[in-house]
Amino acid sequence: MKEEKAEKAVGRLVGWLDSRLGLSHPLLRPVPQYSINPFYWLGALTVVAFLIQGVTGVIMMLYYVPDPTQAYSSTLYIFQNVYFGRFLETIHLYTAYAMIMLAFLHMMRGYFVSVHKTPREAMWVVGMLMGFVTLGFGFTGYLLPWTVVSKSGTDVGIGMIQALPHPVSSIVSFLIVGSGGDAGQLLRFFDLHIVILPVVLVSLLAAKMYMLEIHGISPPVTQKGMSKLSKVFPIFPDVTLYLLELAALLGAGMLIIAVLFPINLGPEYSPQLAGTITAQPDWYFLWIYQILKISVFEGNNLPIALTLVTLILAGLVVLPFIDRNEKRKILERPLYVAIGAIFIAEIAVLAEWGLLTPGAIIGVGQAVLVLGGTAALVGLSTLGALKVLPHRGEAESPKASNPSVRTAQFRVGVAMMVALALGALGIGVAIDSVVTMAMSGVNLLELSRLAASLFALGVASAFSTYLAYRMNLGANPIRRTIAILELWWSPNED
Amino acid sequence: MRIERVLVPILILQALSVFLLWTLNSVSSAGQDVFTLFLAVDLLGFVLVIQFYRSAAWSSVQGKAWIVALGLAMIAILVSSLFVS
Amino acid sequence: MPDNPGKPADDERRTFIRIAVTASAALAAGGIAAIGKSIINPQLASESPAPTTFPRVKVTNVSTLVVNSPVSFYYPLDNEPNILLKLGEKVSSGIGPDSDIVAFSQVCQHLGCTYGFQPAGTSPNCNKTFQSSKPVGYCCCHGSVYDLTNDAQVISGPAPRPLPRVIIEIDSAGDIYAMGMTPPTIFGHATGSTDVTQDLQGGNLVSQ
Repeated sequence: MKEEKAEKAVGRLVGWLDSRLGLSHPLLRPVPQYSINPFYWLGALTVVAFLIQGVTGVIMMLYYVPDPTQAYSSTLYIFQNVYFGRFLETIHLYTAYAMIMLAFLHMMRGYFVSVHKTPREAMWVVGMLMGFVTLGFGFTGYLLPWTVVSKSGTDVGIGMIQALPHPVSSIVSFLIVGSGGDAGQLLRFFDLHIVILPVVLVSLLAAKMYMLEIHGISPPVTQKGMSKLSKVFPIFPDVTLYLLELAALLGAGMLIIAVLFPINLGPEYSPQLAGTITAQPDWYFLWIYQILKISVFEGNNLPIALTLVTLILAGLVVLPFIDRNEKRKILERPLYVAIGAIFIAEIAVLAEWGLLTPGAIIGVGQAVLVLGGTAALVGLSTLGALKVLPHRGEAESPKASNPSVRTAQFRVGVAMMVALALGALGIGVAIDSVVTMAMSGVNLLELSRLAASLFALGVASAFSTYLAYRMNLGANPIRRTIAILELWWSPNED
Repeated sequence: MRIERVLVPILILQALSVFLLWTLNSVSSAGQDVFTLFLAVDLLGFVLVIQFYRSAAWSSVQGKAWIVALGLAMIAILVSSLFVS
Repeated sequence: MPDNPGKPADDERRTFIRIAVTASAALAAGGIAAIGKSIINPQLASESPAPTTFPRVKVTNVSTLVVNSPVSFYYPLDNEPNILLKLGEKVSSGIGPDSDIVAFSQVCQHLGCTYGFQPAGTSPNCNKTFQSSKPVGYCCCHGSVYDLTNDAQVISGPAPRPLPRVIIEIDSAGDIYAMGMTPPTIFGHATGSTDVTQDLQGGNLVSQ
């Protein structure tokens, strides 16, 4: 049959390639079935994004001139005259954003499924360094078009770096700015962006891939995952095709975004124009920008803010040595899961807030309210949700399989989250009214707000106490007194 | 066989897109948008074919839904390329 | 990942799918490769017409000129170097109050080296045996010598034709402006041609 001939031809071709290139040789260990799931490939997709950046970047490198007098005009030349120039620039920008977002998602997914625990602590540290390099790519690349927005934003960033404590600031500042002057700075940024950072990233990637090969993919943390432990797939062709499929989906997504949101080059940098706009960093640095805008960190206190940000980032790096217990499943480590959720929420809130308030200093009270409120809300909701989710596969009570019991448990879970949200809101408003009264004197409006919030807090506490006892978390005497209410809540239960 | 009826048109679509990609004039911004869309069609065609390769895909309902969704997406993108220029 | 090995119909199906996957991958790669068209020189494929008018660019002011001290400037493109000279003696194409200001392309017509200016009675560092009695352009690469008092005609050496001259004029304030070029074309721009509009292509026009 024709198909058989074609198959033989293809088979011979693949066989020839295989014997010459060693495609089917087990270069990397086979991949277990539970990890055939996009979440396990966020890191690989980050590398795919990096490769896209490499290809588009190298082509643009043929036309770009890293000199302040020609940077903008050469970038404009790419936009207007080069074949696919605007396409290259657009894809390069959006894939840069995708790479940063994918790296972040990869880190958070890893955090939630405990990849940083034994024996993969070093992989986590190397991964964090790769994350910093990725942010460095964004920082250095942002300057290159030499537009008003990019140069003024970068100048602020360099100012921040120079405000770090002394030995660090002079070393880092010399590395990225050189001996001063715009031309030296641009050339350093360009060299960092196209040579130094790529070499560092690839070296770190090689180290991480080697360690991945040694340790294998981290074990699953869900029941469904555990059932797919034994089956494995070879790297070539199965896993390669899967990765290519995901990469093609990423590519197609980037292309569609590029068409829907075309970019245009802003005006060229000049000191006069720069004075008319408010400098703002690119979105992935907005959370740092927002922290630095809190009034208590102004002026001489700036190094304190920078040290705080550095401590947060350093904390992330040494996480494997802080979170040392061996529990991996999400339900068994509620505190760390809650901290992770709070971290994501805070970064998102800070970034959005920074976007909305360019250049505006944030009062301390407001900062405490917003950030503290977010932390309380997210933290308590997460803890609440974790406590009330049924432990699948660990249900000792035969009633757990009864659908009406599950419905009741679901309702309780929702009610618990509502109670916690109400309580968090109450706490937030209470703190705000107290702070306002402390700063501007006692008045009726604030007093009534305080009263209302304390009342809401009381209701929430009572309600969540009831729910906690409802879930067998409490002492018998109280359970006995609310037995009648239990009957009302779930009439079908035995 | 049912599979060929789907795979062959996809491969033809891919081949057409590749041809267009190489022959399009791509300095004009409309030309570049059309290029971007056709490259997306090309890549989604590849994704569709891989879904068929992963045999679980065509036998399960979820897999079939993915395949239909991808096919519709490709058609939508092709149609939208007419409005770009 | 095929996990139902089973029936012969499945076998045929798998065969076909394998071919399809290979073809599809090749097509996807081919599509991505089309991006490579962006490395084709845009000048060659540019849709905009080539410029045909020379810019008018200020070079310097007559009051700053010193005899036998050349002023370097780029014209008409930012990668075409020229020299402007006050010769100290009246020459036929010279402008200015003493008719002694001239400007020529600084790219040698032989193989494109940048030559240097040698005032009368001096020797270039690269060839101490050479000494000219007039102000000349001496090219250190292969020894071409251009007589700058006589429209840059070739005195000796392998250069096949004289240098292009920059058309300059002075306004009432003493500012010297470059306005055009005389044939032959600058080296590297359809070398040897008399169509001076070729000097306007292959780079960015100087502007002011």
